[in-house]
Amino acid sequence: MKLYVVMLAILLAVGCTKNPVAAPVPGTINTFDAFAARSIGDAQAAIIGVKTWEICSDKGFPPTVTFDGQTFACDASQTPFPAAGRKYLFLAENLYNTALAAAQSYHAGVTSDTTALSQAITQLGIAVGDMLTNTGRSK
Amino acid sequence: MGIATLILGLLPTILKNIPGISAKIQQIITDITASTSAVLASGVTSQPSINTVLAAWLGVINALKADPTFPQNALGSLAQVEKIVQATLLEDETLAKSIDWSKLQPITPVP
Repeated sequence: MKLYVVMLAILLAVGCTKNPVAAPVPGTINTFDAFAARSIGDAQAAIIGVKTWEICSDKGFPPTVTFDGQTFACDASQTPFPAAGRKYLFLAENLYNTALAAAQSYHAGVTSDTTALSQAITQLGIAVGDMLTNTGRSK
Repeated sequence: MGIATLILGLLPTILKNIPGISAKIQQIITDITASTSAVLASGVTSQPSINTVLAAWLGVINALKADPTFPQNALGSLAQVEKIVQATLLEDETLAKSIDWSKLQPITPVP
């Protein structure tokens, strides 16, 4: 089943890499830049959601938790964060930071290497998929 | 759509991995997977169609929540992931309109 998830992730990520968003959006320099930023923003939302769950759980679900300079609300009705999900969250966080740095370099014109950024986003997508799959199916 | 589509595509995998799902619900999951996979694979996904796919899965999750024979403790993590998926799709909708690079910030990894 895990192989299926990884294959699905690769197919979708590669497919999306070859078909970036149709039109540039404000704040971006071209369609690839928009695709990269949107992918990283999506991943950021998913990772922060899982990380909030983890930290709220570790602290016994207080009203709020603060990390990375931001405060997030805890949901007292949540179940404890599954221990099996921690390593997947950690990997996703690291790959997110790698992809973000590559995207910022591309956006700033420091590099025009779309291959490296595509690979970073693909790896990030797989890691986010693994993270959600392994936290979602835990009991 | 990128990673948001990928995340949405993971929901049936997560659902199918939950033990104790009845044959009837399994069939519903199979049917919805066939329909939504076609939408997601078409490459022409728009926000309304994505929301329709999400609504279909939320319907399955709500059906499981209402099933008295289903082990409700198995739904805890799934329900949380479902909220994260919703939040991610909402963020994706915003990012489709404009990008604010100042909001894309590093995340401190915690081992």
